[in-house]
Amino acid sequence: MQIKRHTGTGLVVVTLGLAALATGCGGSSSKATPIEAPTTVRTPKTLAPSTSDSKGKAGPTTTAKPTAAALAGLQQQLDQAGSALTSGDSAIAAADVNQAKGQEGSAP
Amino acid sequence: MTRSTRRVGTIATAVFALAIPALAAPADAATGGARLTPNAAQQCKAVALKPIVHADAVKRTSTLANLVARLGTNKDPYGLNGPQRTALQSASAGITALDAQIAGTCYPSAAALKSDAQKLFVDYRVYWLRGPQTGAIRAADALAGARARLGQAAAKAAPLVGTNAKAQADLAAMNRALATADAKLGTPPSAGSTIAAAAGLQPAVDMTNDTAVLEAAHSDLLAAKAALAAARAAGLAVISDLKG
Repeated sequence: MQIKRHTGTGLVVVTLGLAALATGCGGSSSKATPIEAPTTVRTPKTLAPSTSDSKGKAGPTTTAKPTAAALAGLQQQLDQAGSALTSGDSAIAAADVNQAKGQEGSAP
Repeated sequence: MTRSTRRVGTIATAVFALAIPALAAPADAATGGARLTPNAAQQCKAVALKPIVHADAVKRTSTLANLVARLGTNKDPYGLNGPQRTALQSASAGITALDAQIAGTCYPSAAALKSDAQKLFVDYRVYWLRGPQTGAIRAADALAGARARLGQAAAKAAPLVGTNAKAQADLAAMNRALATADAKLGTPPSAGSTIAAAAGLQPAVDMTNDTAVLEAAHSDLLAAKAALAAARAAGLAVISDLKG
């Protein structure tokens, strides 16, 4: 893009532009490349990293509270973990050797 | 029904009871079966104990089948279910064979029968070992499922806490509790040391070591469950922090 923009100013400018691109400095100017732009815009501060509600938005939305949907998803994971924990109770009880060994008995 | 009719019926029953074994004996002999003729049975000792031994065998094979069925419904994050299922099925086959052997053997003494019957208990340890061992494996499987959910929840919470100091602290507590659980439970596919040791136990005459290992595994399972419950509580606190 820079090359096209400066085509009319002469060969020297074109050469400088190409040299800058070749050394990797072409995108380091104040005009960010399309690839770099989202990262730099989204992380201007050390505030909350983006979530689904802040996707593609900049500034204030990164500081917003998590959405109700995000918290509901988290709650759902914890509920499922609670169910899994409860489901293991009978197995933990069955793993108690001191309760179980009394059933073994002995030969008549 | 008159008294004389009942008496005739009783006599007929007695005649049949005597006649049927007499008729059956030649058939058994022809097939080479281990059934005993009435004369031989009179020389065999402790015959009355055989039904008791048989009942013990049936009870154990039924218990083993139940343990296998329960294992079948579990996920197997540590790879312990397959070997355990094989061990349980092998024990069941062994008990069935031993039961048949005892039933078909004419023991010269009660002590000889008891010696064989003792194998039913000592060689298999269905209740002392296989029950709690299978319970430990199933419990570890269930707790691993809970651990996986909580790990996913912690990962989901991490980008949400932002600069909320209380949420950060609660999330850190959640992760510490998960680490505590991991130390006891292990991380799939590797089970924790006591759980793996319990899963590898074999029946023994002296069950002192088996009991100690099973106790250690049970203790670690309880500790892992407590840690996971604490992690879940911390996760719920994170949600509360973020809503506040």
